[in-house]
Amino acid sequence: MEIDAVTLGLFLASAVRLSGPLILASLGELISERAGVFNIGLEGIMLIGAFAGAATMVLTGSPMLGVAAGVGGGVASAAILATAVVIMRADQVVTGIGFNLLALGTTSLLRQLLLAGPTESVSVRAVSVYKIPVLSTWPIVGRGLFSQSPLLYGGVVAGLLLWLMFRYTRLGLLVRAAGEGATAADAAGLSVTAIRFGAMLATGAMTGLGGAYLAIVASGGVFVDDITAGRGYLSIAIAIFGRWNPIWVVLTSILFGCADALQYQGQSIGLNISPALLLMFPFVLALVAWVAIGRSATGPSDLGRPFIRSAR
Amino acid sequence: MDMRDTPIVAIDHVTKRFKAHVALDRVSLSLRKGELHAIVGENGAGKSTLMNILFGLQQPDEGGILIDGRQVIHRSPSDAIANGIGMVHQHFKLVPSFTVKENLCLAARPAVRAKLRTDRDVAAIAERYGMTLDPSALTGRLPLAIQQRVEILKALVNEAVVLILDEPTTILNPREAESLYGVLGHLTREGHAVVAVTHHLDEVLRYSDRVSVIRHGTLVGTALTKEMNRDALVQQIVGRSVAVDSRLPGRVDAVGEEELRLEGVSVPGTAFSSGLHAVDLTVRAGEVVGIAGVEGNGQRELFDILAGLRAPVTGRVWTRAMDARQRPIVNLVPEDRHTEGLILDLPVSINLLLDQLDGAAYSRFGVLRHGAIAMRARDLAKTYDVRTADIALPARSLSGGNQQKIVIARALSGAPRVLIVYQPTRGLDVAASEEVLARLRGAADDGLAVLLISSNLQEIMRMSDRIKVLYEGEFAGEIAGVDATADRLGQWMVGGRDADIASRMAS
Repeated sequence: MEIDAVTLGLFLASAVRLSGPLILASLGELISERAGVFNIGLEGIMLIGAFAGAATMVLTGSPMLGVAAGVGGGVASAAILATAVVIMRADQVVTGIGFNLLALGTTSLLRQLLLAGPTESVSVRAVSVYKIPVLSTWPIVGRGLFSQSPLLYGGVVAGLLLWLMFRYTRLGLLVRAAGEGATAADAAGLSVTAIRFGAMLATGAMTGLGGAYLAIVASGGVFVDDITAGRGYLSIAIAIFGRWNPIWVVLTSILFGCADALQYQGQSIGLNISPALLLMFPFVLALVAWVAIGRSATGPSDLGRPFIRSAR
Repeated sequence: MDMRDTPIVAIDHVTKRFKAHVALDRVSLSLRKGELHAIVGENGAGKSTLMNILFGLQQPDEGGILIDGRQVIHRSPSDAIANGIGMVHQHFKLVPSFTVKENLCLAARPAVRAKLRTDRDVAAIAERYGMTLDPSALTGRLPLAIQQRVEILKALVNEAVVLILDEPTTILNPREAESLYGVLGHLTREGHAVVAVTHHLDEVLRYSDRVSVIRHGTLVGTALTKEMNRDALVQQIVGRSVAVDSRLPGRVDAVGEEELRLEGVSVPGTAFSSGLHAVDLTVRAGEVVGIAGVEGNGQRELFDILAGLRAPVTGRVWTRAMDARQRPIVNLVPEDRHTEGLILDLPVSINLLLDQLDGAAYSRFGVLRHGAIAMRARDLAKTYDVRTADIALPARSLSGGNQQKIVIARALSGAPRVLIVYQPTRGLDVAASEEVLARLRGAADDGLAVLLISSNLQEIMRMSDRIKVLYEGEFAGEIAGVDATADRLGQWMVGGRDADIASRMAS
């Protein structure tokens, strides 16, 4: 096995590219979880975002519209989920899993109905690559870090903004209060329901964008059934592994992107491991992360608990 | 005219019904500038409902609230806060993972947020009201007494002129309670009206300016505290006279053989507690041994060791019967009936028999025998006067006094030899407390060895045949119950030894 600069550069580019959907979706999940909603429906939201993005791009020929539709599909999905779990206070885990199954079936059906015929291929360069001047010409890391999709840069910037928001702004304080002390927030005259609903819509937007990234940037606009293949679940694990800190979540996403890239690039860099095993690798990493963190993680204390104002 | 004669808030003929039940019947009450107004009454008398109406958590069916003579309507707590009313709930409404400053910012009305920009702003406001607070400290890590200060400050930054405190000293030790009333005195001197809903009549008599008594939803009366005494208050509260000052003496002839012995028991301390250091203790059949002391001087450790929740690092515990793992066999009345004493969501019947469900009488082949359980539970509920419409209801639905009766029924029903009781009357009203204490005394007279751990000095003095005082994990002194005085015990509780006291007296 031999690793030269070119192989390493390719691997890095692939890893960062594949981390894009994870960054967007796990930051989305982080927002919900900080507000106290354990959003297991992330996989379904992402899938619907991916389908809405791919279908819109194929039908309109515009990758930009595709991305916008991905966001719209994500927000609409999140609104349905939020109505169930925040307003009607349904069980968050059961609702989420049900929604994921629904999304899988629905997108498969719609693909057969809408995208079965022959389609023209559309150039996705407008949303897939933006070379940052100067930086992108650096050796090895230039291509990997600075010649990526604008959506990915957007995700990293969103991570920074979220970090600032949670640390310095009243909005961040309100979201945290809904997740860490819902009764206290309620006593202060705030609407826990409104905060959580809003947080879930933000999750929907980010995750829908992640789905669109997956279908348009990473797959060139070709939607296949279950295109997300567990990346939504993986993103939930990342939010926890990153300890609900946006910066850590972005970095952890890139780590998982590396694991994802190994399954594609593993053979080209001469790793003599069964592709099936490599395919498992991100999930094994996630499982290890859950177990390792599980005991010590101190997440938002009202995470997963529907807010019901007690009688007194 | 004295500042204290000016009413700020008048509650005017308020009536509140819950279906057929009249919770409040035409109650009128005024709160004056600069007074500490105590509101007393039994559990369920309507004190909380009245305060909830004032704070906007509930709405009256008839009558209303006047602030500075003007009729107001409080549809929600936000309305009440905007009208200058603040409330410190018994269970704090704080975000434990927030800093003190973040909690204050969260609760602050838009108009006052600018005052809380920096840590220094927050510290300055606290200092203005005679409190020392670290604005950047994590709230959940602070002692409860300090968290309570944060709650008070939350109301004050919102410019509350009326401050309602619901059972403020239940979670405090005597020294912290005294310090709390110091802060409240500071507020009344500045012209705030402070309302304290409480069961602690000693505090009412010592600190309040006026006292109102509520019984069965009606106001019995409001009086100047200095014209009241303990007996008159108790009589108004329960509607008959109860002798709460008298000792509950044991039968000396009932004291028998040793049932519980601790020899040199030690456990290390923590940030919140001193641990235990080589403690020796014996309890004999038929006697009540009281363990007094300020919370955090080893009481929790003592209880945990006797309950088998932890093992002593050195020393040993002996009872006549030991379990397979050489732990003492005792029955327990734990400190927190909600988390340690009961499973609140399970039926009263299961809670009554929790420790016996494994036995053949109540389960066969792993299947519970509900018929047998219900029969025995009904029996116990009757014997121990647990009042519930149905033993199948969850324990959560009962009042605090009746919940405690479940715990005590369970602890006494299995013919125990040793009973460990930790804060048995915490949060109970006068009548319920008396019932609990009488029940424990009766059990001791029937030959039970009782260890009573309590920070309630009066309870200790009334109940105990012997009293030992824990201070920093050691026994500072021991005295017979009949000879005990609050002064003597109080000295030991803050670390004075007999030798010190003697030398101080001599000098």
